[in-house]
Amino acid sequence: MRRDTALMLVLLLLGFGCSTERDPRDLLAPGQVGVIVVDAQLVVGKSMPRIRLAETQAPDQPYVRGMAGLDGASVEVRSSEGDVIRYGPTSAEPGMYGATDAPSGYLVRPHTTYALRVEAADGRVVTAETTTPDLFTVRDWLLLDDTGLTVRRRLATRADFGGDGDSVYLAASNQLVYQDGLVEARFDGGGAQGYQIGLVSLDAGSPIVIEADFLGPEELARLERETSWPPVDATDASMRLPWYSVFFEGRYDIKIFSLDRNWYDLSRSIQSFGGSTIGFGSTAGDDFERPIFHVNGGIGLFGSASMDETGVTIHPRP
Amino acid sequence: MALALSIAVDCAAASLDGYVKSRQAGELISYAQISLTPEGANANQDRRLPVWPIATGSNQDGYYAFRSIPAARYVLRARAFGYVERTVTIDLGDAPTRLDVLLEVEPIRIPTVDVDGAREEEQRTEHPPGLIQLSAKRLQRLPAVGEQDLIRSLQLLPGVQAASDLSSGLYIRGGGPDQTLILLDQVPLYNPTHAFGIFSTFNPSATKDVSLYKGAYPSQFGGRLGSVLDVSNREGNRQQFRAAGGVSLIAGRLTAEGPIQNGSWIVSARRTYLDPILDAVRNDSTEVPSYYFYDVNARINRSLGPADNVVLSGYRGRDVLRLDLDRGSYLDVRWGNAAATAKWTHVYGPRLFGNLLLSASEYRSDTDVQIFTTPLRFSNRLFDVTARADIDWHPSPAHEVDAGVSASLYEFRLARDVNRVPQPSFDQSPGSVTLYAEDQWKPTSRWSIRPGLRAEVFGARGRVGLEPRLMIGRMLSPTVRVSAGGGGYSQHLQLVSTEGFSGGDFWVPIDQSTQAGRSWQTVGGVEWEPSPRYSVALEGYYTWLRHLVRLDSGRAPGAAGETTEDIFLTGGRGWASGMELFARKRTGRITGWIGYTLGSSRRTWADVNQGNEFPPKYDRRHDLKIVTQVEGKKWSYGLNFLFGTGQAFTPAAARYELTVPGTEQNRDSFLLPGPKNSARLLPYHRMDVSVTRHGSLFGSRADYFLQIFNVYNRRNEWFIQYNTDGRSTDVKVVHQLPIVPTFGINFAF
Repeated sequence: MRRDTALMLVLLLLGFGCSTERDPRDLLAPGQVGVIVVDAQLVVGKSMPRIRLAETQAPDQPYVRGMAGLDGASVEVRSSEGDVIRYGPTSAEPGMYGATDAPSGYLVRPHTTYALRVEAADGRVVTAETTTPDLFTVRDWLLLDDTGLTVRRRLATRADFGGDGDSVYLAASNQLVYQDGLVEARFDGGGAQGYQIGLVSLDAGSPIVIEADFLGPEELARLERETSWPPVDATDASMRLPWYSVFFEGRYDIKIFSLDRNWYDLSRSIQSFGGSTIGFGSTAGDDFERPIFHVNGGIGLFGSASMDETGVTIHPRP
Repeated sequence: MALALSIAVDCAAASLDGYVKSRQAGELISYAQISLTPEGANANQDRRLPVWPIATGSNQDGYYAFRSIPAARYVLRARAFGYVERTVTIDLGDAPTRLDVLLEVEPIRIPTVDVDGAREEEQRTEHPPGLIQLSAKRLQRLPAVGEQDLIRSLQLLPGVQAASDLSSGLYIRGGGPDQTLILLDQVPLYNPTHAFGIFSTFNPSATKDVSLYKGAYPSQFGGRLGSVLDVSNREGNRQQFRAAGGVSLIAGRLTAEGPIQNGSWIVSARRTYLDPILDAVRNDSTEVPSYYFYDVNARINRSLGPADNVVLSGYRGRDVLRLDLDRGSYLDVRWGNAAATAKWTHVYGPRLFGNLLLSASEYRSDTDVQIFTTPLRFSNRLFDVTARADIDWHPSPAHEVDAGVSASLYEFRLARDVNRVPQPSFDQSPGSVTLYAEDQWKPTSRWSIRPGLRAEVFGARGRVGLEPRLMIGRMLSPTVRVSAGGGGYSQHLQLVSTEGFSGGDFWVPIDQSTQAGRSWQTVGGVEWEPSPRYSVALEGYYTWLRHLVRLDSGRAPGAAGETTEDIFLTGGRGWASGMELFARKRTGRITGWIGYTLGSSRRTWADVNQGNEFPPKYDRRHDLKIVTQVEGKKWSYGLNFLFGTGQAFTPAAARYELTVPGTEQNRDSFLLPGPKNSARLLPYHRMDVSVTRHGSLFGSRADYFLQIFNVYNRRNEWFIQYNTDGRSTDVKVVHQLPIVPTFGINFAF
């Protein structure tokens, strides 16, 4: 009798312990499927960007980019100076729209408000507005000594070569040895919401420059050639290149963006930078928050920035 | 009856006071129960007359007093958890009488009486609702994970929850861990955890007793919206040198104590010894961190005469973690608390007891991360120095007034450095002045009313915050007590804590840019003690929360955080309510409790969850705890069972793609959250067991223990992780601790 009781108790306990497996789909709650997503980044001095429109997909189904694109919408952007830029579908991919009747040679202007209006084929309307920052120029691109932070040399810019874009990568001053010194951009502070660094590795297929035995092959394969850093407010009007964003040898463009509110708010609140579910200052898994979208009737980004850049070539450490 | 009547009308007033001490060690005994009965008197039922026995309790310093009692010959009974009850016959005349009561330590492993199991009728009316007092000895016997831990043991009480198996944070009655004031010898500890929050800083060998006010706490405490955990350390043996220690799977403990002239000393230290194991596991291809923690408690007590006592005490604890990933990439984190106190207690006379306390407490954490030679440094320091004076005044038999004043100076420093660029730091040095007074008024022997008021000025705000408090107790019968209480509470310091990595915790003072957190609490309950062996308590509570703040997790790194409004989402509101049932068996070979809580808690911020109300992650509707201990001469056994509603989490409601801001071609996939915390993890449950063999080691007393945490290996869910790297959303449930056996030895010589 005692043995039977003990056996029953053990079985009961095992039963308690083994009941935690469940269908992962139970942990998803598709409740916001079909919401219109706007994707557009306006950069001062550049032509009007393409605008991608899509709809949110169910999280428990495979994401198919072609099915997410929103075709058949009426899209236009109006500037505070009275310009009207109409958009039409492009053949690039479903949901991609390009400016069809912008004024000839039209470039995004600084300190100008642009209003987006999207009317979907089913009548849904999405609007958003961005006010572009003032022109932004980096005064000095410098290489600092990484211990004393003294200036080793000034880096060249494209302007030093009369706009010849490729010469800057060949300039002796712009030959950088990985992790040797600190690249710093100094600019005149100008009331932007925040600043962001973007890095683009231009030489597809160039070898990895990082030394990271702790990363596995899969993680190394996921390293991206175009990255950006979380926004900062750069109160001292300077930013330094984070070496941990540089993964490859070869030519790089270093960009500094001066952000409007929409771009800044989305960048700081979206889970792209790290994506951890144990966020700083939270209980585990409790930081899954809705990003700050400034899009009426939908989600996404219709934001703007001013940008300055230079080019460098990264060499491995000897 | 005639005797009682004659005593009641006798105008001759006697008084009796003194300390309750351990006979063997001479240590002062806090919260002992002292009762007086006139020799030959029986309990009477006439409500106009005193109900014998009259009773009181020793305070935290072991001091007790009876004022203005009729001169007569009395039988004094004293008892405390872990000590043999003592009876003394004493003649009290007109002159004040001083009597130090010495109690014998109970022989080990005789069924013991819980400290609040011996409560006399009259004193029970003063017992605030929501207060649980437990000796450290009792808590140490509960099954643990790896290392005995007081806070984790407290998580077995009803109304007290853990965020996870890996957390020693206290989530009490719907409040977060920052809403509990944690005191060690009356000094606040700002991060009472080791090992990323897995263990608390309280060394069980050095701890004497623990008082937990789960809500509506009295006026002598303040500064937190929810509750108070008041931990007292031991004073040391005044009679002879003793040493005790213990080893568990991860740490060793050693305590030494002994007498000094008219006093005692004690030093207790603890350190992990995982370092050599981690060093052995580490090799060129396996990154294993180097980690250790230690803490040291020290205390010296000295009597300067019959009326004066001086205590010097100190605490220091540190955690050190170093992880070398590769050339130019490492993580180095160091954090810990330090505290020091000097306390002078003085008996001014039979009506007035007072103490003066000078204390300093520091918490600092330094995080130094380097990723591919890009350095990130984060440094946080909180320092406070406090001067405090308290009195315990007995103006008449019906009144006992506790009052005090304290002044504190704080220094908060939060410094960050990203890629060798100093970020805006947070550097403030506010001060605070606090006054409080509370009267324990006993209009009759059956009623107890405790009105109190606390006033506080914090920082440059300049406005006096008033916090009224009230507790009412009534004995309905010799076995049934009802009580109710409530009050206003404020909180000027906000903890920013990261579950799973408490080393990065930091505190921020609420400055003038936003309002300090505010709560109003009400509690009420009924307790039935059919016999000293059993008790059943039912309590209800409701708390309103206003001006809550929450870290703005979207705040850009390096953003100027010069005011609290910049750092936090402000203006939060919330409430917490619930009912708790607490049934205990307190004496006999088998002791334990069953606790059940039906609770609910909600929060609202304008900028969170689109302004809609949501449950915090630790909201738990049902929470059942069963704790049992079986004591024997050679063997002892323990069993815990916990069951609770699954924690709330935010499910993914949709998936979408966006170009990563700052790039042209890099499109990433994201998930759109559903309503915040609108889904639940599976219910949490687990069972822990322990077996202890009482024996000897080289002729000294030793206990060999085996404890198994989560004996049936329930894989409780901790949180959900989503991954959108592939076309299909990968959903992963991160589980809590599996079965964890622990064994070790505790010894004393």
